[in-house]
Amino acid sequence: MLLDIRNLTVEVEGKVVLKNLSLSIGFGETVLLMGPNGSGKSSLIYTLMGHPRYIVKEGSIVFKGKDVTSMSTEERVRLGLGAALQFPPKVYGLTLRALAKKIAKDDLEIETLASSLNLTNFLDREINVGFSGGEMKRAEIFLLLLQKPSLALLDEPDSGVDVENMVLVGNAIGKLLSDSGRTAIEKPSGLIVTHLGYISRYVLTHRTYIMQNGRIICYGPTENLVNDVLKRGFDWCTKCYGDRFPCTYVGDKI
Amino acid sequence: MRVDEKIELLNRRAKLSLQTIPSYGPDVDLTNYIKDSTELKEVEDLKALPEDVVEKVKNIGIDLNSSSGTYMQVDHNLIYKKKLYPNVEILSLEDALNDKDFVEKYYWNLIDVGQDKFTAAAHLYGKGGYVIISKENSVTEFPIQACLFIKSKETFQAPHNIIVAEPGSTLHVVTGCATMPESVGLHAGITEFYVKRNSTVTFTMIHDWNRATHVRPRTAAVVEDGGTFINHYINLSTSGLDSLQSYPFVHLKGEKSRAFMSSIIVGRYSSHIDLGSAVKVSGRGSSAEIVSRTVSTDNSKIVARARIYSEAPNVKGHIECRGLILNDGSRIWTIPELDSTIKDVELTHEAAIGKLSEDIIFYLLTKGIGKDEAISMLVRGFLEVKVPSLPPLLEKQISVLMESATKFL
Repeated sequence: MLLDIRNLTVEVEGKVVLKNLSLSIGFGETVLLMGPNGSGKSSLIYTLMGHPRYIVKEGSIVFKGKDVTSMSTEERVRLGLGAALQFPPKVYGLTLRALAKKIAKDDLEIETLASSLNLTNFLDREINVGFSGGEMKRAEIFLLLLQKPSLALLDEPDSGVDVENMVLVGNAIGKLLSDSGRTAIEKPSGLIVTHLGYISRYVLTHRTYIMQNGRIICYGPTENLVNDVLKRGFDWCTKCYGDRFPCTYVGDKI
Repeated sequence: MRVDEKIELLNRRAKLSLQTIPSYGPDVDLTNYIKDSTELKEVEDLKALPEDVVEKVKNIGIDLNSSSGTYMQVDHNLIYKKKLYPNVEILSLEDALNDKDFVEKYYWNLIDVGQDKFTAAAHLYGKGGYVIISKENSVTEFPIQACLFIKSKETFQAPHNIIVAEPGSTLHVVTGCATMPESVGLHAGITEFYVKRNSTVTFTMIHDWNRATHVRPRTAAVVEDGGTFINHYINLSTSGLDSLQSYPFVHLKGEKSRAFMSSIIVGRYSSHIDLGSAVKVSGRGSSAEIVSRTVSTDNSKIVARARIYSEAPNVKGHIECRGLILNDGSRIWTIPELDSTIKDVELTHEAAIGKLSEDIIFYLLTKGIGKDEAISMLVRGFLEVKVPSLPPLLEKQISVLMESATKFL
């Protein structure tokens, strides 16, 4: 197992944001995480990356066989975790190129990748300053592609992206997660947070988790779950109790 | 007034002002510093300089292989002077003072010798200083370099520098000032700028003092019609300093004249830095901008002053003071002031003090940047100021310098 999250409970400033959450991702697997706004999807990403405001109260996170629950962000990244954040901050005084050069030494790789994501004109601009929502997403994915993590955490890569750029973003993520140049065990895995599900058209995923109120309530094959949820809404999921095969309901039965 | 009368008057006023405590900054006892220091001889080639001096000047932006003009002073001895542009004169002050006309027009005309004990001591005990004159309509591509260096123990270094840009000329000057680590010094340089009709002067000053140095430069400029004065001050004090107080004053006397004053200050250890820029605008349609970026660490204290006073119409002025406090116990105090006696002006200011954003540091950590490096990169970015009209080569040189200086934060 590449990532194994067991019974995780997390607080931010005394407020519980994740409750008894368990989730696992195998080597080379990509999973979708869906849920309504405020259900705790981004909190999970921040917790996995070790943001100091997200305090783990119970449970554990094991990555590549190592307990990373109390590791610093630096150590987690060194082990192979990487993230594209939903709302990355504006970084005044630092250009996208300068950061890219710290991540990847190869100038040609930077130029080629930037061009493939329509970002050439943004390389010499301050990171995210004056970027539109879609431009920020593309810049995040660009940096993640340079970083080449073993597990890519992508927070809402498809929200706020227009139709033309969705193809670029979708294909870039597809490329990141299906890197054929590596051996099976080194093939990158992915955790993609989405509430729209568009990204599932571009990326082959192994299963989908549904989150609500800080918990995973259900998981199952992507094609069944995504279509049902998009048609009927997340509420339908809470009422289903996993009676519909092949989903597995793991939430509290009310 | 005859020249000898002027000198006599300056001497008299200076003697009377030796006890005058300055309005800003901590006081310094002059008697600890006013002694003779080692005499050094003028050298033919900068490469013949003592090795420790050569190493140190690299940190203050002085390029020993420069194809431009250079003036170098160690303690109070002129040790090297080179003129490369036929249209730019580089003289020592001593030589320039032989010209009575020069004394009358440019010597102590912008700064009151009796302003405080430092101006008084600079006049009575200071030695050396450079005079740079760019001739009418001449343009320098590379900056003229001036380097002022304290090497001996307990040195009082107070050169008097005079820069004159004749009408229509463009002149770039870069000055580096430093002290050797083992030296104890007081630097109180006097600098007067005469920016004449339609001329442009950019003056970049880079300081790297040590922890036992007190610095009290006194600077003033007058700008005529259509003239531009750009002053860019950088003090990264990689080794800290004891105290620094300076409040350069620019008089935009001419119509459509312009001033841009920027300061980049990093306070380290227990440095006390009190620095600002003041611009008085008397010329119609003129504009002034004052920008400061300050970063405080350790127990340092930084006061960032800025003042624009307008007495002419159609004037634009803007002050921007931004401070970054890296740890508790250090202090930044910004004092922006706007003052006008005319209604038809547009004067604005913005000031902000804060810390490095934890979310941004976290963001860089998620990209695989180490914490120390992330902080350096953010501080470096914060200190970035776009200075108009600087030659690209100098911009690049400053950038390299800032890169290495912020690594130690």
